[in-house]
Amino acid sequence: MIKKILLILGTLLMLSSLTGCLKTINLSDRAIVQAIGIDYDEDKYKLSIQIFSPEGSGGQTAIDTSKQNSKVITTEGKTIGEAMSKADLKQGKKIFYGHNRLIILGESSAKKGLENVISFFNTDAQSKSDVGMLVVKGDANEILNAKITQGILPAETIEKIVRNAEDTGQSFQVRFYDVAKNYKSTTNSVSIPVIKLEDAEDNSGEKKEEESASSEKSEGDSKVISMDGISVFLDGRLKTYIDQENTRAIQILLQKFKSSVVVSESDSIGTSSVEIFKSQIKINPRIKNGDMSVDIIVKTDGIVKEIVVPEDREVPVFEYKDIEDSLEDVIKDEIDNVLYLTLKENNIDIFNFMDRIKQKYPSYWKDNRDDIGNIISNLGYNVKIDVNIDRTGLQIKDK
Amino acid sequence: MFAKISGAQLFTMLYISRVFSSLTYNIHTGSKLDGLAILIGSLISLFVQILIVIPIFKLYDRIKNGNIITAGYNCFGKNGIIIAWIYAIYAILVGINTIVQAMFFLDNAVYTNANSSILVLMFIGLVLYGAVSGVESISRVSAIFGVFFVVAFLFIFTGLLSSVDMYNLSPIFDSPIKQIGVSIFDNLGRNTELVAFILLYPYTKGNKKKTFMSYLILSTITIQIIVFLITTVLANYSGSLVFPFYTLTTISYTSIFQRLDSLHMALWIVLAFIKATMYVFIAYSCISISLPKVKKGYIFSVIFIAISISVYWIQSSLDAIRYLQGFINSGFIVLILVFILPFIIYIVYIFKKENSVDKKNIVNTGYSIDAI
Repeated sequence: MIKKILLILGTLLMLSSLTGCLKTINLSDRAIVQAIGIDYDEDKYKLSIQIFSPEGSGGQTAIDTSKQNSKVITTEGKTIGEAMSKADLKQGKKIFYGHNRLIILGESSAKKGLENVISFFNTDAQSKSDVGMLVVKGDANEILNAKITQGILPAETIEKIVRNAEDTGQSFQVRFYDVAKNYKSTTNSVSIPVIKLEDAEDNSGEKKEEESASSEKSEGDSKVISMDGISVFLDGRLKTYIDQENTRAIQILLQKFKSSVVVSESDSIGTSSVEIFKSQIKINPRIKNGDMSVDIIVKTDGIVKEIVVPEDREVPVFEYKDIEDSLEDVIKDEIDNVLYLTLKENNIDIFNFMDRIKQKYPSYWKDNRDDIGNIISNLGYNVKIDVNIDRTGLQIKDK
Repeated sequence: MFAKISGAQLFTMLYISRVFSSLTYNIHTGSKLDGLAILIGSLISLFVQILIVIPIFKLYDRIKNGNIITAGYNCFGKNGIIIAWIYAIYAILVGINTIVQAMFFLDNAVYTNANSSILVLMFIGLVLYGAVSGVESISRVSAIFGVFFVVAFLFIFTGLLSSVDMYNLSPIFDSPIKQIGVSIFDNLGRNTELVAFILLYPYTKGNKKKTFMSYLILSTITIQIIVFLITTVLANYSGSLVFPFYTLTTISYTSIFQRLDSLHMALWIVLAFIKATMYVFIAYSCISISLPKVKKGYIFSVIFIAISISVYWIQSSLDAIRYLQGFINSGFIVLILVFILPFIIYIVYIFKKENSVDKKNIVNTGYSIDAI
């Protein structure tokens, strides 16, 4: 009998633990962070925290797509942790950044260095390693406070834009763990995509006119986000920017390339735009006459999108060799340009060339690893491109 | 007559227990080794572990009923109690270490502001209940969750394949032989389940050697996969993480299935429970052989008090956590308990058997597993 009583009491005691081990916080009392902007000014970190704040249209819908559905709070502190801790005081809700989508670094904090950023987001249990990272020339605060006209949530919109840019060869996604991995690496440098704000009327004047009658967002200061190249870091600090026109080559070399439309123009074959896809790249380090170089072979297939041939030219049917050669020249120039900018001008390796050398020539690496900068600056490169147009579209080349 | 669990059940208990440690902590903890050194070391360690259990298998071939403790009593008479308590204390320490690891993970990765005292109390209570239920109950739970774990692990593995970068697996440049040697010893020390196996040996039916080999090979394969993923996906970043596999699960995704860290948490807490329960049971079995007249309830009460006080004290001090983990994972301890001590007992046993006038005395000392 006593045993039964003890068993029941024990069970009840254990049941009491099922209520959880933290005090309850209602969802309405949580400020769900969507994006965090980090700037650095006057020896202080300034955080701009974009919080999900649904704004209904007054009817049954909780979210009105014509509104921002977010608000931004700004805090500052000597460290990111201190700044974050003050965020609760600014708006009364408990900050929750477990579902944070983006970390946007302003130019000032990028130049200050990634150390504090990586330390905070690496240590804190709420933050996850797959959050996207971006850099902006200027202040991150401006991006997060801008009235972005695309989509429901600004942070979600930015995320989608970056994803679409990756699919079309305009940029690539970088996660926090990618940045942390390259930051901790003794050989690779960090590279993070850059975004910028543009006025909405610059991109779609007609659209703005249609929307202005009904939309609260586009009231003369509505903005759109676009990609603006890549930022590269050296020793965790912002070194330089690489222009948007070079991002395709970077994407190919980083083996993140999916597809992109390449335009070739010449007097002999006219103008053609071909979508290249299924890119395969081989990068082989090689020592020749004591000098280290990398052989880069890119093979890609192409789909014809558009061809305009000059009037006076005979056009062989299903003969695209000249266009392929032209495209190969275009892509080779882009890759050569990017390699020169990164390796020669800025002495940084964002393409894991050093890791390849380490694997293939371990004794060479062991002898020279104390002067990686020298290896990078003296690294030769031979680029060979092979474009194969195997899909012509529904129209053959014609006058 | 005292064999109660099948080889497959023992296998899952040991496998889950072994994998738990690798899922929790950084493989570089305590030793700054290259990923490739750890991979090679754990592979070679497999063969070392096969070699060091030869004496114990030879001993068990001669003892038809019993384990290392009963053999110790057979060899040394009443002094065999020392051997029983050595293994009991070791099992209790491993149990404490497991609970401390579980709470450390929860405090740092899940509930950072929680009061873990209640969690600790409930967890220890559950572990005690599981141990009191006996080895059959523990093995059945482990068999069920073993299947869940393998499926979940394969799912996580599949989600990480696209993130693997083989260039992160670089050659070992600095002292490769030394690094591999340290890795071999490190792997040996982390395999506390070798001790569990030799104590659970008589509870198992079927071909125990086959069970042991299956456990050793599959656990080594799993550890290799974990190390491979951590090294190739996270590279040097893993060195700054306390729970690298947990970070891996935040990155892993397959189609719409994301946030596998929650899957990791759910399974992990069950694995911690199974491991802790197994070792508490082993501690109880060792103590009960040495004190056959003491009631089961009293033994478990003492174990409960000892573990509760120790866990509360240790988990509040990072130094204590580090020292305990260093001690438990020390290759020397496993070497002593799995190889040296059994080897000595085996030699003494052979010597006594060959020189004994009354050979019946070798077997009928009154100390046997039947007391449990």
